[in-house]
Amino acid sequence: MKSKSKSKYNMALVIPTVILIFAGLAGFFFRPVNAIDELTLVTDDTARLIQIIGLVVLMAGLILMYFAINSAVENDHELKISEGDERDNIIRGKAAQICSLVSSYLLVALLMIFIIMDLSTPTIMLGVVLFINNFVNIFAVSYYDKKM
Amino acid sequence: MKNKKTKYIVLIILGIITIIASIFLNMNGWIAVGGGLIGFGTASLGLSLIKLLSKPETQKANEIAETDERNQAIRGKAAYASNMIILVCLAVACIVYMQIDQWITAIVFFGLLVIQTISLLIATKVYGSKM
Repeated sequence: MKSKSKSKYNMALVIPTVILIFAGLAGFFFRPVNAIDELTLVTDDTARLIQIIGLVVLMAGLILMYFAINSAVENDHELKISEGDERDNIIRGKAAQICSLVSSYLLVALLMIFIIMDLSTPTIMLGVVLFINNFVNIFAVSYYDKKM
Repeated sequence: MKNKKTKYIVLIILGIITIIASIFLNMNGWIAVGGGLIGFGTASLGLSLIKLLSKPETQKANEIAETDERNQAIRGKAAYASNMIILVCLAVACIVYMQIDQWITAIVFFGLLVIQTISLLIATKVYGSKM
């Protein structure tokens, strides 16, 4: 595909992506009018259906966004070179290490605050996030150790 | 080396104090605070003891492994992958809490998301200008 027609293709991808994401969000956060007084999340079967459809549409929008970004990256030669550049990779790795340390400290501090405030659901959620983070880190280390 | 030993001894003392404090707090009905502190104290005590009591050869091997170029590259790639996973997890948690109308928790998670993104950008810029 020539670059001019490819950029047109990218532009054509952007509009439905934006529409799908906004429509998905609107559906996902749809609330029946009387839901403010109720403790339960969904009071109506129709509302639940709209929310599920919203979630599906949102997912479709995100997948389309992934394809749009991928095709835009393929067009950009400078970005392609910088992706494979050794120096950029080292910088990215070092920055990620620092950032990972900062976020780990923040997450643990927040976990302690949630425990002290007796909030069980956010504590469990944060615990799961921390567990996934460590699991992925260990898995990635062993994967790259074998690969490199 | 001596500095590191002092640091670990301070951490061990801090861990013991935290564990004793958490037992007192538990006895006085502050179970949540005591539970949080006992976790912190035990982790601090355990990790410092491991570092302090490990053999000098093991410590030297660990130091070499830490400064090794290949290990650094592996650690960097792994950190980048786990960073991206954290971003996705925080975004999902944020959306879930927005969905169940717990806006304060959602805002906290969103704040974490923003802090992480900004810190990644700043760190990239700092290292980019440094190297």
